[in-house]
Amino acid sequence: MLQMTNIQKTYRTELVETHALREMSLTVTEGEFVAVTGPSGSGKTTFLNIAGLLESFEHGTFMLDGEDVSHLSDDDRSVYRNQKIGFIFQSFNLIPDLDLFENVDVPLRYRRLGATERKRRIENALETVGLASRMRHLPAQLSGGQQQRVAIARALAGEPRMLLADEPTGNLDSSMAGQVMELLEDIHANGTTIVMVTHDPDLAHRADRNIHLIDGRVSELSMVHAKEEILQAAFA
Amino acid sequence: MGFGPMMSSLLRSKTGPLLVSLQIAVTLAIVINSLFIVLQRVEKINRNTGMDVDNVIIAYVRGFGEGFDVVNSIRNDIDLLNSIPGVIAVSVTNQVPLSGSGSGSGLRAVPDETIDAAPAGRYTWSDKGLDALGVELTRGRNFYAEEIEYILPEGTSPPQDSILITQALADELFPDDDALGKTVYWGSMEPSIIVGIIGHMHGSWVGWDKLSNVVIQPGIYAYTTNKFMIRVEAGMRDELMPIIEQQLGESNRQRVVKSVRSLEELADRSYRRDRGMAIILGIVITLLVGLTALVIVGLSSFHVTQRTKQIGTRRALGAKKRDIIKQFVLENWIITTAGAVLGALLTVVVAYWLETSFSLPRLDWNYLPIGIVSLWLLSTLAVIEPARRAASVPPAVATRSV
Amino acid sequence: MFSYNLKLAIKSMRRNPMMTVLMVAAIAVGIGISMTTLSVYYMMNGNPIPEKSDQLFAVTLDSWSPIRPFDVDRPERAPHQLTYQDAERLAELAAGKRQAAMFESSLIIEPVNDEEMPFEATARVTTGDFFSMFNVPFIYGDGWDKAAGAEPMVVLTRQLNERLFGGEDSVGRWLTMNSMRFQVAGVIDTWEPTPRFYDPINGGFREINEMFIPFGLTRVLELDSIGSDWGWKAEEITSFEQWLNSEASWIQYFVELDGDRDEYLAHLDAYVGEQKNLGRFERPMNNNIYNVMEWMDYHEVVANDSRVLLGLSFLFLVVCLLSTITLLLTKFVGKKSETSLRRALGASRGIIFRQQIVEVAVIGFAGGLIGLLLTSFGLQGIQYLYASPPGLVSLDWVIMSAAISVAIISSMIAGLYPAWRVCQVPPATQLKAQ
Repeated sequence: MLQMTNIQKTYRTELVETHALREMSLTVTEGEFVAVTGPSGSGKTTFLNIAGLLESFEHGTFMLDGEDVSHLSDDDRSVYRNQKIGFIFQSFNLIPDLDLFENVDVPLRYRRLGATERKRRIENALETVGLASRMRHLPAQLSGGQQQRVAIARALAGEPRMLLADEPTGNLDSSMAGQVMELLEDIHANGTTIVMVTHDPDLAHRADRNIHLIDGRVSELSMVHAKEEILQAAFA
Repeated sequence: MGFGPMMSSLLRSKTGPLLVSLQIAVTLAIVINSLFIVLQRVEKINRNTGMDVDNVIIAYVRGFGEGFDVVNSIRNDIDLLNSIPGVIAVSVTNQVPLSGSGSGSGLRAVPDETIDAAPAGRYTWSDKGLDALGVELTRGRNFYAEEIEYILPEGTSPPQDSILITQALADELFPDDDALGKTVYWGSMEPSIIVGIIGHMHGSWVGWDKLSNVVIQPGIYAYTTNKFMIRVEAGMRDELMPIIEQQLGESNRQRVVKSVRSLEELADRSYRRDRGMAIILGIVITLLVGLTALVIVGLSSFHVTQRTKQIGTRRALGAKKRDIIKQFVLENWIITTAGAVLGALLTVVVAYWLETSFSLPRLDWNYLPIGIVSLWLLSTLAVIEPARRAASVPPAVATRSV
Repeated sequence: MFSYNLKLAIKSMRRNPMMTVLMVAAIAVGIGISMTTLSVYYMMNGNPIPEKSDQLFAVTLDSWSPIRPFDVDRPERAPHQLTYQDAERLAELAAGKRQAAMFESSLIIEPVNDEEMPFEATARVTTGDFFSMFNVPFIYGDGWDKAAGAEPMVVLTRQLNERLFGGEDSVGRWLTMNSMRFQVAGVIDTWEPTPRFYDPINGGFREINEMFIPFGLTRVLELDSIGSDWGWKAEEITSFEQWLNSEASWIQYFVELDGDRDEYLAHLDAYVGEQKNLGRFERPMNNNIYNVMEWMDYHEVVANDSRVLLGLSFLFLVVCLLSTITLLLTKFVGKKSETSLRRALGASRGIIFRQQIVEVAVIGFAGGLIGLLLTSFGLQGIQYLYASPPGLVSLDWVIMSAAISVAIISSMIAGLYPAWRVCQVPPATQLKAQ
C-alpha cells in the first residue's frame, strides 16, 4: 500500500536548516494497522504530512497504492488525497459553521458526485460511527469524542484506500479515547489500512506493528514490540 | 464547495456579511444617483452653444464726463479694434450671451395680448454681429448695413423692422409653418419681420429652459456703458486680449476700460455651479467606492486569517487551489448579489426622493444595470487578492497543533 | 481606570495597524464630507441679521399686467421689486418705523490725483434709513438723514476708503463721481451679511457694494440700475423721466416695523386703492410683506444643489459608519482569546464593554481630528470651485466642536453592537485549540 524509500525532507529558514527526515524508509502493506511512534522532534508529523501528500520532499521515492506519487503536481496531490486517503486529525478539524451532514459532505463535494450518491454515503458513514440521529447538529453541540467520530465518518465517506490518523485520541479523555480506538479497530477489521501516529505506547500496542522514529529515521527498536506480541500470541 | 452549504454557513454567522451587503446597497444607491447628476451636468456644460466661444473677446467700456460723444467714441473704438491684426469682426452688443446677464422679451405670432408670448433672449447687434460671435445663419439673410442705426438713450428708437431668430424660437412661434418672412409682435404689439433664421444659438442664462430662444434686432446702442464682441483668429485670443485692453485704454482717456474678458471665461463662470457640483459629487463617488472596496478587501483578508485552519483542512481533504478561490469568490458573490438587490431598491427610493424633494430630473433607469454590473466587478476585483492568499495556505496547516 | 482603558485601547489599535487606519480613515472621510456640506448649508441658511430679522420686511405690490400674473408658475406672487414712483411715494409717506428704497448702480470715480485712471465702482443708491435699519457699523462719520435726501453725499466702505484715501478719516473730503462732486459723510466697517438678504434677486452671495449714495440723486444723475428690472406694459420710454414714471419694477423696498404687520399691510392696501383710482394696479389687491427669513425662502437663496449635497453626504456618513461597524466586528473575532482570558481573570462584562467603548471613542476622536483637517480642505475647495469671497465659510468653533462630537458619538453608536458581542465571549473556554 505505502512504500517510502530513502525519503529526505529538510526545512530551511534564513538562519536554520532542519533535517526532519533523513533516509527514512518504510513499508505498509494493505490491510495493516501500523502505529508510528517517536519522541517529539523525531519527525512524526513530517512523516504524516508526506504520507498524506500534504507536503513534498527532496530525495527518495514514495509509492502509494502501487503508483509513484513522488513528483505529483499540487492539483494531482489534491485529487489523491481526496480519493485515496482519509484523514483523522488530533483536533478533529470540523468546520464550525457547518452541521454534521455538511461536514461529512466536504470531501465528497470536491469529487463531483451526484447528490443522491453523496447523501447515501454520508448517511452510511454517520450510521457507522453511530451519530446518524444528530445529522443536523453543529459540532459545538457535541462532545469531543463525538466530534472525533464525525471526523472519522468524514474520512470514511470517501471510501479511501488508507486512513491516516494523527494522535486521534490526543484531545480526548480515557473513556472517549477508548470508544474511538474501538471504532478504529472495527474499521481495521473490515480490511481498511490504517496508519496512526501517536506518542502513547498503550495506543501503539493496539496496532499490528509499531514503527519507531528517532531523528528522522526508522529506528531498530521498531520491530521489537511486534515480535513480542507475536511471540505472546503464539504462546497464548 | 456547494452553494447550499455556503449559504447555510453564511446564514449561521450572518452579521458580518449582512453589514457588507448593506454597505454595498447604500453605496450603490448613492453612486448611481450621483453619477447620473454628474453626467447630466457635464452634458449641460458641453452643450453646443452655436458660437465660436474659444475665439471671442468681450470688452466692457464706459465713457464719462461732460460732453462725452458716445457715437463718435463707438465709431473710433470699432475702427481701432478692426485695425488690430488678428481681429476678424467686431460688433457692439447690448448684452453678452452666456454671461448670465441678458435681456428678455416675449414674441407673439399674432397681435393678441391674451395669448402667451414665446419668451426669448433679446440682443441688438450690427450687421457684423453674427460674424463677431461666429454664429451661423442657416436661412434667409443677415442685416444690411443700411438697416443699422445708432440707438440713443433720449429720443425715439429707430425702426427695427427686421429681426433674426433661432430655429428653436421659430418652432415655438410657428410650429406648423415656415417662420421665414413672417411677422411677429413684441409686447408693445409692434411688428417685426423675420428675415433670417439662425440654426442654433444660446442666450445669456444657462440655467433657463428657453436658452435656445434668441431674437436679434439690428442697431447699435449708443450708451455710455458699452460692450464689444470681438472675434479673433484661432489661437490668437490670449495674446490679443492685453493688446486690446491697452490700445482701447490709451486711445481715449475720457473712457474707462472696465474689463476685457474672453467669452470662454464668462461662460465658465456661468457654469461654475454645475461644474462645482460635478466635481464634488465625483469626489464623493470615488471615496465611497474606494471605501467599500477596502472594506471588502479587509473583511476577506480577515476571513482568510481567521479560517486558515479550515482552509488547510479542506485542502487536506482534497480541495484544489482553485476550489478554495472559488469558495471565497462565490461567498463574495452571494454577499454582493444580496447587496445589489437591496441596492437596486434603495436606488429607486433615493432617486424618487431626489426627484420629489429637490426637483431634480428623473433618473435614467439604464444606469441601474450598468451600476450593478460595475459594482459586482469591483467587488470581485476586491476579493481576488485575499482569495489567492487563501489558496496558498499549505495543506500541512491541517496537521499543525495550535 | 480610564488611563488604563486608554493604554489598552492604544495597544489594541497598534496591534492591527491596517484595520485601525482604515477605521479612522472611514470616520475621517465621513466627517470631512458631511461637515463641509453642513457648514456651507448653514452659511447659506443662516440668519444674517438675527437681532432684527423679525422686524425687517420686504414689500411687494402687485402692479403687474391685468392679463397674466407676474409668475405664471406661482400666480399668487407679485413682482418682487417696486416701480420707482411707488417706492418714492411710499418712502415719502413713511408709514413704518423706518424704510429703505434702494437699487444697485455704478459710477465712475475720477481720480483724486492725476496719475490714477478713473475707475468704476458699484454703489447702493438708497434712502437714509438703510444704515440704522440694517445695523451697519460705521468707523467714521455717519449716514444721511431724510432732510439731506438729495445732497451729493457718499458713504464709503472700508476697502474703498483704503483705495481712495489711504484708510484715514475722510469725512468731509470731496470726491468726483460721474462729473459731480460728492462729500464723504461716513465710512463703514467691513459689513458682509451672508446672504445679502436685502437684494437676493441680484445674487445673494455677491460682494457687497462699494459705496452708498442717496436715493434722491437718481433723477439728477440719471442713475441706471445694474440689477434686474421687469416690465409688462408696452410704454414709450424716450427719456429718463419717462423711465422713472413707467411701470417697470426695479426698486427694492424694505420697511422696519416694531408693531403690527396688519397695520402696515392696511396702509399698503390704502395706497394701492388710491392708485387704482388713478387707473393703475389693474390686478386684484395683492400686497405682501415678508420678514428676512421669509424673504430668503421666497427667493430660494439656499441653492438646490447644496441641499442635495447635504442629503447625499449624510447618506455617505451612514456608509462610513457601516464600514466602522463591520471592521470593528471583524476585529472583535480576533480578540476572542484575549477577552476570554481577561474574563477568566475576573473582568466582568461591564468592564469589557467599557474597554471596548473607550477604544471605539479613541478611534472616533482620531477620526474626528483628521476629519476636521479634511473639512478645512473641503471648505477651501468649495471656495475655489465657486469662487466665493474668501472667509465666506470658515472653520469656526461651532463647526469644530460639532465635527469632533459627531465623530465620537457616531463611532460610539457604531461600536455598541460589536462591544456587546465581545462581552458575550465566555471566560476561558475559547482557550482550547480549535
